[in-house]
Amino acid sequence: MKNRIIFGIGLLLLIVLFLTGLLFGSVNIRLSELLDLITGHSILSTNETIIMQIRLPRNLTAIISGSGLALSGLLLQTLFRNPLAGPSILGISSGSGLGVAIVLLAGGSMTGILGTGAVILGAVIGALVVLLLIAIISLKFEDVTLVLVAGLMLGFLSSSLVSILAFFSSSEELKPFIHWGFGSFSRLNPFQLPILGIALFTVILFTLFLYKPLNALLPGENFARSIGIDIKKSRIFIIALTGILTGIITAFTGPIGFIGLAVPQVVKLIFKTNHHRVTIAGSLLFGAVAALGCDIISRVPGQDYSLPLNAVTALFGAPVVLIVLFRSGNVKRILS
Amino acid sequence: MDLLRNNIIKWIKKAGIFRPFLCWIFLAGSLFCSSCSSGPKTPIGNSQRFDYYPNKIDIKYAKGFKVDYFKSYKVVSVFDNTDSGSLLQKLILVEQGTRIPSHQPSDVIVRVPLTSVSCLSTSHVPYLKRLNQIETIAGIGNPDRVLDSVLNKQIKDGWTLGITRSGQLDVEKVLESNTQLLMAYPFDKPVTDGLDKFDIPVVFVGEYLENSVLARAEWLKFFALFFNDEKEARFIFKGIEDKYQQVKKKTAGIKDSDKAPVFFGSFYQDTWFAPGGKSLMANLFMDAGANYIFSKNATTKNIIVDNELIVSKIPGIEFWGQVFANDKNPGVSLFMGTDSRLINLAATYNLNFFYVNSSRVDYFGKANLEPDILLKDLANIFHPGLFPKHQFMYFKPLKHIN
Repeated sequence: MKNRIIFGIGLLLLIVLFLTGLLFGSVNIRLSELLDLITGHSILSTNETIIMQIRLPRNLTAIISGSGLALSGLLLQTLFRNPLAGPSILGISSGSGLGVAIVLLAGGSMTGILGTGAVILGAVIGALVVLLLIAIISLKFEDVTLVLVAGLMLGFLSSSLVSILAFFSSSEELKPFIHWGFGSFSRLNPFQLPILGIALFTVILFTLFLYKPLNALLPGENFARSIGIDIKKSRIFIIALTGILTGIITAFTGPIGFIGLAVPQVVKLIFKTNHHRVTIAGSLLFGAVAALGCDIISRVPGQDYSLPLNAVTALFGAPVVLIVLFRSGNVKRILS
Repeated sequence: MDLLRNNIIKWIKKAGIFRPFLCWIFLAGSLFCSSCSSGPKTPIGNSQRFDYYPNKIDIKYAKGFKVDYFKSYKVVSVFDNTDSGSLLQKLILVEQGTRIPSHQPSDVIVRVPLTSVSCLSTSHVPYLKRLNQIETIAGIGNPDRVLDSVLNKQIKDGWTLGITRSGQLDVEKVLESNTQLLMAYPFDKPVTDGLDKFDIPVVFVGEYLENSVLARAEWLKFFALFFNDEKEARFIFKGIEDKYQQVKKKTAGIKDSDKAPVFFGSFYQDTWFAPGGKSLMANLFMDAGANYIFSKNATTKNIIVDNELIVSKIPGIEFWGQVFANDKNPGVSLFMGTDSRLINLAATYNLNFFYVNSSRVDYFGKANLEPDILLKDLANIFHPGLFPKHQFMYFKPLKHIN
């Protein structure tokens, strides 16, 4: 009963944020105009274009990306039995960043003619290469902590290569790369949004088959093994799912930090359970709420400026992670 | 027309035996006329015969664009003229009211003359102003950086909208501005890609990639193409070119032995960034009667120079310049950072500093169309007294503190 009330509140929050996202932006649109549009009446064509083709796709991108990142975070935290595990921790986001850097910075004089398509391709390939390396390491070594550390190192390696590329690039070449790094939910065109939606839907579908191994992994790998779960197979499966989902989201939106890390923590905190039937649904819902909320805050309604989305997610995500660490009371256990 | 037709019918009725013959002629005539009138309307008929562009431009210095004229449209090619020279964009500028040529492959189709345009860079404002088209600017990127008083008033009055938020393209504002076209730099492509779905054409302007100041000024002709202002642009550019050549004629007489060695660059984290030996700045120094220390370098792009190399070259350098944007009065520290070793060396070898403060003068905009003043500034710094009446406008020696 209590869980249903929390889900109800979350859903209400999502609807309110969704409408707020449609209402506020650089151009002032009245509530009456929005209501007219929703009820099928005609409004000023420019405003209709702004709502339908700019704000609506952005809201949907935020919902899909937020849900996807939170789900990835939850799966990785269960796999590594570590609340500090998240989509960026395995170096997948850094791999995407390296792919984009190669496209935008090493393209030299061709930079100008390369468009969004090449950037997305670069990000996906970068993420998949890191993912492949993680999968190989995961097959070779049993210890999950080792895989986690290997992910961190791959992340550092990618970042250092990006730094080298950035050093030898002109300010003109750096500009689009830096903007990509800020993160944004407004980059997707109508053809790309369904790709993102399908990616999330597919992962959710596969996650349904993972219920049993995920719940079995909660007490530890030995317990899971004792009840007949194929640990290696499950591990590869979870890494592949989260890697592909994070890679695609990062490619389209840029690296969005902390949602994948903080939202599963909040969900476990408010639902007071680790059971994946609740936490998966909760992460999907509150991931969307967090992403929409951060996107609205980053646009600073009523002002002529906006904040980088990544900075806003970190601003709200970092304190949440700290609270979780302090509440757990045993930092050593978490970090070990 | 109807009256004439009625009279002809009455006349046929009276024609007696010749009636069938006249009827046939009338019918055939009517069919011929109607086939003419239901075919292409006047503009298309005109577009085949009438030359809309009797005033064409010729390009003398700029390598970043070229134009091919047809009777009712122009095909403009924009190139990446840094190293590869590859084609960035092919535009077709089609005269309003005429048919869009179907056989011409293109990236962007634009109806000309434009009545509204948006610029992502403030550097493009002076070009439009010189063509008397500043009122057509419906949107401008980074409006807080606009130094032009007329455009600032337009922004204040709401005539021109700011189309960026925190430096990033704001698509909602672009739509609100009702602009017909967005002008941007090639490196803006990743951020302007999303405008395709709103049918707002994006045109790339590459004036900053040219390697001479005259070539950069010649991009005035590129802007003129969108307003059919070719005649005016030709006239204005001729004036700019003549003034520059006059100054250059005077500096051309300077002997090689009198050409001062000059360094120009900025310092960031132990590394210097300097213009390549074939860049616009290197060529400008050469025209101003100086000897740029990296003139033998073969690139047009910026080069990265290690601090040690610069230190080793200081004894042979006479002039040391930099562009910066700063509200403070410039001091030696702005040129050499806080590195006391460099500052001491500069004092030992009595370096002469010169600078441009781009937050006070429109160096990245108006200066593009005043190459003669840039040249005069530099010539007077390197050879004081060469133009005794000249007042420093953009480049100033360090002693001239604002």
